[in-house]
Amino acid sequence: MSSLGRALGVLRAGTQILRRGPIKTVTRKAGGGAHIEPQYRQYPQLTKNQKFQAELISSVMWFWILWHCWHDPDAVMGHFPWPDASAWTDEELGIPADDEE
Amino acid sequence: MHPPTVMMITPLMMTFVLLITPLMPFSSHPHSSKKNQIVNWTKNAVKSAFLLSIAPLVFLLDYGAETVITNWHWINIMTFDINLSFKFDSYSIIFVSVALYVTWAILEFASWYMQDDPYINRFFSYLLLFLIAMIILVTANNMFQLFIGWEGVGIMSFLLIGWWYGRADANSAAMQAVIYNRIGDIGLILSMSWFAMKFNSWEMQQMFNSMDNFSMTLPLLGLVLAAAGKSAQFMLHPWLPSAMEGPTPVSALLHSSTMVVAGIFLLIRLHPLLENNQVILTTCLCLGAMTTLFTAICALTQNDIKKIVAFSTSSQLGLMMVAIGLNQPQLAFLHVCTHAFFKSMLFLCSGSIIHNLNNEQDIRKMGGMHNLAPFTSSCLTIGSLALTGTPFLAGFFSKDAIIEALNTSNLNAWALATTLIATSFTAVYSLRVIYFVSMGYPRFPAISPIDENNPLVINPLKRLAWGSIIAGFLITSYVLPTKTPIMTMPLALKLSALLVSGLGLLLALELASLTSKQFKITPNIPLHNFSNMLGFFPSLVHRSAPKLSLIFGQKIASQMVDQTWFEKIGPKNMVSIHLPLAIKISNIQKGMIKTYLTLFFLSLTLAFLFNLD
Amino acid sequence: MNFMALLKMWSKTLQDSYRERRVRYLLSGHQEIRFFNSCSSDDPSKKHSNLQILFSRSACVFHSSVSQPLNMAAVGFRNWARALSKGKGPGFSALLSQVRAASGPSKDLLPGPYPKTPEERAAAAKKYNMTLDEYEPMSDNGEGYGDYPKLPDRSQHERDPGYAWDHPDLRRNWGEPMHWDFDMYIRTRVDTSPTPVDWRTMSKHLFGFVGFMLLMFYLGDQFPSYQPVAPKLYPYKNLYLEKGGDPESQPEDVKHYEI
Repeated sequence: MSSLGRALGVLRAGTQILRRGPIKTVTRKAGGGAHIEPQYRQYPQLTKNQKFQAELISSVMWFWILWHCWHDPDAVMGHFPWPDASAWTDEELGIPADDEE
Repeated sequence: MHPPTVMMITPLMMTFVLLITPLMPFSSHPHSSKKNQIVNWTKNAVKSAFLLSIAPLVFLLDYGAETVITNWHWINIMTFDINLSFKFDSYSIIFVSVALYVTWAILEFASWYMQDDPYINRFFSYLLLFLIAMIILVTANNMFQLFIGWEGVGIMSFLLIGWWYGRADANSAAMQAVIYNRIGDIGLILSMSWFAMKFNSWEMQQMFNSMDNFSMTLPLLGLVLAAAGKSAQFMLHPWLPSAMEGPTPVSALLHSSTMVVAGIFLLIRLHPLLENNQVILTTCLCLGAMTTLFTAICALTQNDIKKIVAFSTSSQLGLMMVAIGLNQPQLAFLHVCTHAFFKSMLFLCSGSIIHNLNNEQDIRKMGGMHNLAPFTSSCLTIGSLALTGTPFLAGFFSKDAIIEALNTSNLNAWALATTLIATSFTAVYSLRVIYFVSMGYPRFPAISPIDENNPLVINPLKRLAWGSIIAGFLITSYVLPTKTPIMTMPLALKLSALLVSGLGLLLALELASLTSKQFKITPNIPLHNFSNMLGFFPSLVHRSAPKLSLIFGQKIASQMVDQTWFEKIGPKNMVSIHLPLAIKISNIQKGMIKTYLTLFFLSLTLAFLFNLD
Repeated sequence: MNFMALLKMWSKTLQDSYRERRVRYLLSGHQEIRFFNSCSSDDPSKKHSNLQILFSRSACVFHSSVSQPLNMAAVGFRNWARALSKGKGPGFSALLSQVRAASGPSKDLLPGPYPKTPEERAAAAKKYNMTLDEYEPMSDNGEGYGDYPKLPDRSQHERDPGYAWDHPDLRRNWGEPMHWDFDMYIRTRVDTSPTPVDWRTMSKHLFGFVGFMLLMFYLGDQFPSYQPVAPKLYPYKNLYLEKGGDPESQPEDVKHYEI
C-alpha cells in the first residue's frame, strides 16, 4: 500500500512538472551591446569594437576625401582654366593691329 | 501607363500603407501596457518603407519617370475642383527616400534615448504621424493637399516640442513655435485664397499655366512669408532655437532635417511662379542672406550644444533661401537633402553626448570626449566637417555649388558678402563645438556613466555618417541638373567658399588658443553681448509684442468693446431704458383714488378728443 | 480729439463695472487660498464668512449683508416687502441693487474703499496677506481700484527657480496677493527678468544692425557684383541705331571668328 502511495506520489509530481511546462529561465537584458561594469571615478572602459568603428569611419572619410582630391581635383579647382586674356595674341582674338586704320 | 510608371507608383503607395499601419487601431493603443510595441512596429515600418522607396528612386534615376497621378475627385465647388493628386517627380521621390532614411536612423536612436519615457509609444506615434504629414506635403500636387501636410507638420512640431509639458520652458517654446508658424500660415492661406480666386484652381500645373496673365507679386509675397515662418527666416527665426527644449530626436528629425525645410520646399515646388519675378527673387535673396548671417552670428557665442546646432540649421536654411533667390531651386533642394544627413547626425551625436553626461548641454562642461566616446566624437567631427563644406563630403556638393552660383551671378553685392561671411562663421562655430566637446581635458564630474556601446546608438550614427560622406556625391552624380551649371570661373571665385571656410577655421583656432588666457573677468563687450543674447531679438520682441497685444487686448477687447455692449448697448442699456418707465408705472399703481380718478379723466378726455371730428 | 484721449474718456465711463468684474476674476483664484488660510485661524466669524463664500458660489441670488446670520430667503423676502411697501422710486432701484449675479465672490472679497488712515492701511495690508511695507494701494483716481494693492510689474518668470514655491509651475505661494495683470505676467507670457544690457542699448544695436543691413542691401542692389567674361554683346551691330548712332555711316560687321 505504501509502495502504491509512493508510486502515486511520483506520478503526481511528474504530472505537476509536466503541467508546469518548460521552466522559464530569467534572462537579463542590459540594453544590448557590450557589458560595461559600473564605475566610479575611473577612466571609462572602451571596447575594441568601439575604437575600431570610430577609426574606421574616420579613415573612410579621409580616404574618400583624399581619393577624390587625387582623382577629381577639378571639382575644387575648377573644371576648365579661366581664359587668360593677356596670353592670347591679337591674331587669335581677331583684333586688328593698332596702325591699321 | 508605362510599365516604369506603374512600377514606380506601386511601391510608393505601398510605402504610404506601410507607414500608416502602426497607427491603425488594431495595431495597438498608444497607452498599451506592452512596452515598445509601437516602437518596434514603427521602426520596422519606416525601415521597410525606406527599402521599398529605393525602387521608385531607381526607376526615376534610370528612366527619368516622373509622374502625376490624380485618382480621386475629392470636393467640387461650382467649377472649383479639389482632387487627391500626387506628384512623383525627382524632388518628391528623392526627398521621400532621404526623409525615410533619416527617420529610420532617428527612430532607432530614439528607442534608446527615450527608453525610460513612460509614453514612448505615444512618442513614436507622434513621430510617425509627423513623417506621414511630411510625405503628404512633399508629394502633394495641389495646394490643398500641401496645406494638409503643412498644418500636419506644424501641429506635430507643437506637440513634440512640448513633449515634456511639465516644464514651463518647453511650454513657452511650443507656444513660440506655434505662433511663429501661424504667422507664416497667414501668408500661405492668403496666397492660396488668391490662387483660388484668380486661377480657379489649386492644381499646380494649372496654376503654372495661368500665371502669365496676372501680376504675381502679392501672392508670392504671401508664399515668401509662409516659407519664412516655417523655415525660420529672419524676423520669424527665434522659435527654432527655442524648439531645442524638445527631446533631442525631435530636434534631429523636425527641427533640422525635415519640417523646417518645408518652407524652402514650398518655394522649390512653386518655383515656376516666382522664377521671373525679380522683386520676389531679390526679397528671397536678401532675406536669406540676412538670416544666414544673423543666425551664424548668434551661433558663435552660444554655449548650449543643441543651440549651436540649431542656429547653424537656421543659418543653412538662410543659405537655401539664398539659393532660391538665385533662381536655383535645384541647388536649394540639393542642400536640403545633404543637410538632412549631416544635421540630423550632429543632433544625434549631441544627444548621445548629452545623455552620457547626465543631461549636460553646456559645451564648457564637456571636453575630452574623443577619448571617452570615440565613435560619437568621430561622427561629430564628420558632421561638422560636412557642414563646413569640406571638399567631397556631403555639404560640399551643395554648399559650394550655391556659393559658386552666387559668385558668378549678376546680383546684390552685399548679399554675396554676407553669405561669404556667414560661411566662414560656419567654420568658426563648427570648430568651436569640436574643440570644446572632443578635444582637451574633461571638465565634467567624474561620475558620469559614459557608455556609447549600444547598437541603438552606434548603428544610426554609422548609417548617417556614411550618408554624410557619400550622399552629396551620389545625388549630384545621378540627378541631372535642370539649369546649366557654370563650369568655368576664375580660380579665386571657385575657391572662395573654401577660402572663407579656411579663414574661419584659422580664426577659430586663434580664438580657441585665446580662450586659455582670460583677459577680462566677464566678457562685456557689445559685440559679444549682441551675439550671445541672440542679437537682442528675443529679448526685445518677445517682451514688447506680447505685452502690447495683451494690454491692448484688455483695454480694447475686454474693456471697451465688451463693456460697451454690456453697459451701453446690451443688457444694462435695456435696464436704463425700462427703469424710469417701471418706476412711473409703479408709482401710479399705488392704490390711491386720486391718481386713478386723474387717469380716468385723462383717458376720457383723450377719447373725446380723438372722436371730435 | 486724438484717439487715446477718446479711448481714455470712453473707458472712464465703463470703469466701475469693469473693475468689479476684473477683481472678481482675480479673486476667483483667490478664494480657495483665503479659505485655507483662515481655516487655520481661530476667528469664528471669519470662518463663517468663508463658508458663505462657498454658499454664494452655488446658488445665492438675493444677497444682503454677509454679516447677517439670517436665512437668505428670509432676507430676500423682507427686502421685497420693504421695497413694495415703501412705494417711492428709490425703493425699486434699491431692490435692484440687491440683485446680483449668482456667481462670483461676495462683497467682502471685493476690494474695500481706498485706505486713508494708517489703521485702514494696516487692515487692508492684512487683508491681502502683505506686510505694511510691501502694501501700496493703487492710486485713488476714481477708477475704482479701492484698496487693491499695487504690486511691482514683475513676471513670475523672474522669480527664484530654486525656491520651494507652493505652486512651482507658477512660482507662486498660497495666499500671495495677485498682480492686477497677473495673467499677463505668468511664466509663458511677458518676461520682465533683468537683461545684462539695458533696453535702450539693445534696441539701438538691433535696429542699428537691421538698418545697416537694409541700407547695404539697397546699395548692393545698386552696385551688383559680377565678373564679366566679355563685354555685353547686342544684336544689330551692338544696337548701333538704338543707341542713337548715325544711320548713314553704319559700322562694318565685326567678325570675331573664322571658319
